[in-house]
Amino acid sequence: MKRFIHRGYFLEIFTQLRTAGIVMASILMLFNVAPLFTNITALLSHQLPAIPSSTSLAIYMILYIYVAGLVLTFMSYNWLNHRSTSDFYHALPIKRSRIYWSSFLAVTLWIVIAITGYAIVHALLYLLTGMPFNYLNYLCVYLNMLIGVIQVVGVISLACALSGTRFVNLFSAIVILLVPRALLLVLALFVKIEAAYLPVLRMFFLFDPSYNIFATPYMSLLSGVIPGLFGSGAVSYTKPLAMLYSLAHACLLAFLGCIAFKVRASEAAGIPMRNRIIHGAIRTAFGLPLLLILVLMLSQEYFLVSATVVLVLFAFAFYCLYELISTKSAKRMLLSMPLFMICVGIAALYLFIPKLIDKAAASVKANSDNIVSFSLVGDGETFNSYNDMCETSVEIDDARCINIISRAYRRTLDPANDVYGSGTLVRIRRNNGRDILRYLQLTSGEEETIENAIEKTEPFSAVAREFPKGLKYYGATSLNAFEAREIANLFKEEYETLNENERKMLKDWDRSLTYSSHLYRSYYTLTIRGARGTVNYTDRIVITDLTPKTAQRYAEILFAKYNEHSKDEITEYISRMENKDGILTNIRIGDHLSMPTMLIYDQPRPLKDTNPEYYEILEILLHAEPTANAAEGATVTFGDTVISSFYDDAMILPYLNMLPDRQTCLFLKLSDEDLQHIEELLERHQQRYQAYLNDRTY
Amino acid sequence: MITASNLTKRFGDFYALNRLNCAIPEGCIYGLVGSNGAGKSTLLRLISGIYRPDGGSITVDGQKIFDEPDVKSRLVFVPDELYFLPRANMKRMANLYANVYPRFSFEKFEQLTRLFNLNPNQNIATFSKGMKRQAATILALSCSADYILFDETFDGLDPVMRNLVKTLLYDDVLDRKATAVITSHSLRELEDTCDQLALLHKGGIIFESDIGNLKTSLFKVQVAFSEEYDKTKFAGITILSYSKHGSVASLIVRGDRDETTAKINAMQPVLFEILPLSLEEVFVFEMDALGYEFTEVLKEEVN
Repeated sequence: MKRFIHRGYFLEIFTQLRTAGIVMASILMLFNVAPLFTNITALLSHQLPAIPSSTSLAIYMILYIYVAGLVLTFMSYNWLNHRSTSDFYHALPIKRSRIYWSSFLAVTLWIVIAITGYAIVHALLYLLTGMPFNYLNYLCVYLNMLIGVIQVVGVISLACALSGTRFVNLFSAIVILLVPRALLLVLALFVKIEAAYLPVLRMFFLFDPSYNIFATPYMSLLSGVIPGLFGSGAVSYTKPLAMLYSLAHACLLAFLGCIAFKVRASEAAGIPMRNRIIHGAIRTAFGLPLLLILVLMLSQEYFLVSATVVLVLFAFAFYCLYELISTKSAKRMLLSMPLFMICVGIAALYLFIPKLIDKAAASVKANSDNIVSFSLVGDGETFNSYNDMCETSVEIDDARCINIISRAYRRTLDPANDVYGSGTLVRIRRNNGRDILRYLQLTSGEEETIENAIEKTEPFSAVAREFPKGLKYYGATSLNAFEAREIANLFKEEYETLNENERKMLKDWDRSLTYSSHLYRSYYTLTIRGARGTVNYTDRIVITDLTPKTAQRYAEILFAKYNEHSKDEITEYISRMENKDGILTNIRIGDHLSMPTMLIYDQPRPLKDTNPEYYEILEILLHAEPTANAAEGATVTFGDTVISSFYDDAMILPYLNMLPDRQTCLFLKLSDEDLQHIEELLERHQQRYQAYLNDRTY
Repeated sequence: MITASNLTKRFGDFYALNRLNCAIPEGCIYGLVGSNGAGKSTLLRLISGIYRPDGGSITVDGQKIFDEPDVKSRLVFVPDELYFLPRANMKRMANLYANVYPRFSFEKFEQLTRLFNLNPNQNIATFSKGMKRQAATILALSCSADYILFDETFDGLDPVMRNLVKTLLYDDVLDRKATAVITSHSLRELEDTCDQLALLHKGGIIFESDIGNLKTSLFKVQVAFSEEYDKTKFAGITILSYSKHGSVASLIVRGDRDETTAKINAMQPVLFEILPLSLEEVFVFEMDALGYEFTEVLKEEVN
């Protein structure tokens, strides 16, 4: 240790960073309040707080490490950029490598103290509020963050050692940390555009954003621009190999920084850049993005002369701008112009490489006779159901399913077929021992056949029978966390007593709720958010008369909590609609009958004229009596959202995905006839709505 | 001993030092004089291990200096542009120095702060320019280094403090056999301080000598004879400059004073006088002899 760290120098730099370190750590601590506040508010308002995902846990720490890494490292090496300070520190009888590692340790320690404090407080707050917390996942995130600290401090230290001004330091850091990964991701993006069936992030480990975690926050930006392009595109914090890679990358950067620092000429203080290669790399990084947009246009056979000229000119202008700002020399800028061809060369590679990859991938054969088996592959760390999570490990060698996969493979590769969405990720095992991963376009019938085949397998059947395992949190709109837990525990008890068919019926909740006679008596759904190991899942508990005790307890809770106000609630809704208040409202009866969200705003006519079915349903509900008897009741959920948008007509927006401002849950006595009638009204409403849409379209 | 051999340092295309050779012995005060850009500060930065030589070598007792903490701990450098840690007082600076210089003496530090009447607990940023220079000098002297390198040391010091610093330097050199290397563009400043002096010009030492020798080996002779004479009369005497006004000739002579006196007395002059030269005059004539125009070398820097 003594060989690398000079105690006195380390203490001096650590002291110098004290104020900035404490202030920034305090700011990070404040960020603890935000997720906790959100979750506690959600808890109090009976909304389901999520088990904190890796991303949500990491986001503030990542931001902090970037900002603190930049600020503190710049502060610790600030002396390199001024002659007087450079002379002072370089004259000290301390080995350069020890100066470097001592500064490195001082900066790293301040950031580690802050993120460790944040992590502990965060975990404690979850623990104290009794909210679910996946410690294993969190530990992985924390370890990743520690690696990230070394990466960021390493990159910025390296950048500081390469140049003698803050401006170039900053851009060198951006180039070293972000540009290589950005180039890889953009290449992955172009490959994905060229060949949507390829899971590019899994094809090559460097395409996977989980490798080199600290170069990936902008991954979400790319995913945001072109949603779904990378599948879930989520960064995994739990892959040991990715962590090892990041650690190796971090160490490499830190050691490169040390070497650069050791050989750095002291006289570089105040001089923008001595290394022309890095200089060129920064200029190229400035010029390249616009050319890549051009490449994207060309690859999509979308060519506009004006756009091409504009993009090339702007790319060229950006390219030159850096040189002008950094060197303040028009001569140097002119001299660097021919090197613009490097940008053009890289852009050209981006045009051809994806086409070559597509061609190579398309030449791979996967026929029924050379497919041995296949499995569905999860695309991310969060699954839509417990069963989904479990079925990804099931290997299928059923001949019928293999035929389906073979057909889907050919169909997906057929250029005549337009591909929408990413499809289902399938790992195909071939008889030559080489597996291939492809997004295949499966029809709903094909999906069902495959799912049936999966369900027949023993490992999956065992899973299908069991109540979801792992860390769990139960949530419901109408219940608080304790009530939800009570209902879930009751459900679990009753679930254990059910036979396999009944369990299967209940376990089918994530796909369809088609259990005939119980159609309207599926009283309510509880959401489960759970985690097994580091993988999260979301699932549902449907309360039906198959679990009568649970249903009865649920009805009692609801009756006690809300029913005395039920008529008032419905009357208020009708009144607000009639008064033309700008509201979006959605009514759900049981877990099956869901009325389309409806916009009532500035209606020229009363509700009963503009939307008679809706009005009639409200009338039925208005006349229904509250009940505490599960056998004769149904849950009615109102959700409304006050909006400010202006529409010229009463309009129905069935698929609008908005969180309601207010939700009310009632338990009302509704006969089978009432429910049947409501369903008929909804069908009629749907037909009228379709006609309305057709009128608007044509 | 500090030895520079073919020492070269360049900044881009500009050679700050070009194949410079010099030897700075132990236990002396060595002055480096030269105009701006002559390479004085660059040489000090190379000696103190701040810069890495681009060519040749610079050593202390045969050991390279750059990135060699053991060697560097025997050197302390007081630059022309002073720097102190942010919001630091002298005590904090002393602590840092004590952490890196193994022979740092807090006793000496306290003694000197008292002597200079500086408050070691006061933020140095609040000090005047002269006080900052004093603080830097105190810290450097407290390091008890074998070699103390001062770049334009006396800038900003009033005459009283200047003398005090000089006295302390003499004490250090005498008591500890330390070596001080001082740069200045003022010859007069160095004249009464240094034992040895080197003149730097365009990245090289063009003249180096012991000041005592320099001043005794070069002197001015005024002489007159009853008969007519010219320069040839003085054959056997090394004359750097000769001029004659009427019957009185003025000679700048290099050599042994007694020998020269004996030779001239033997010629039976009617007037004979030996006059001392100022260091500046010595430099003018020595440079002239080497083919340099002294005013070009030092320009207006010479006071």
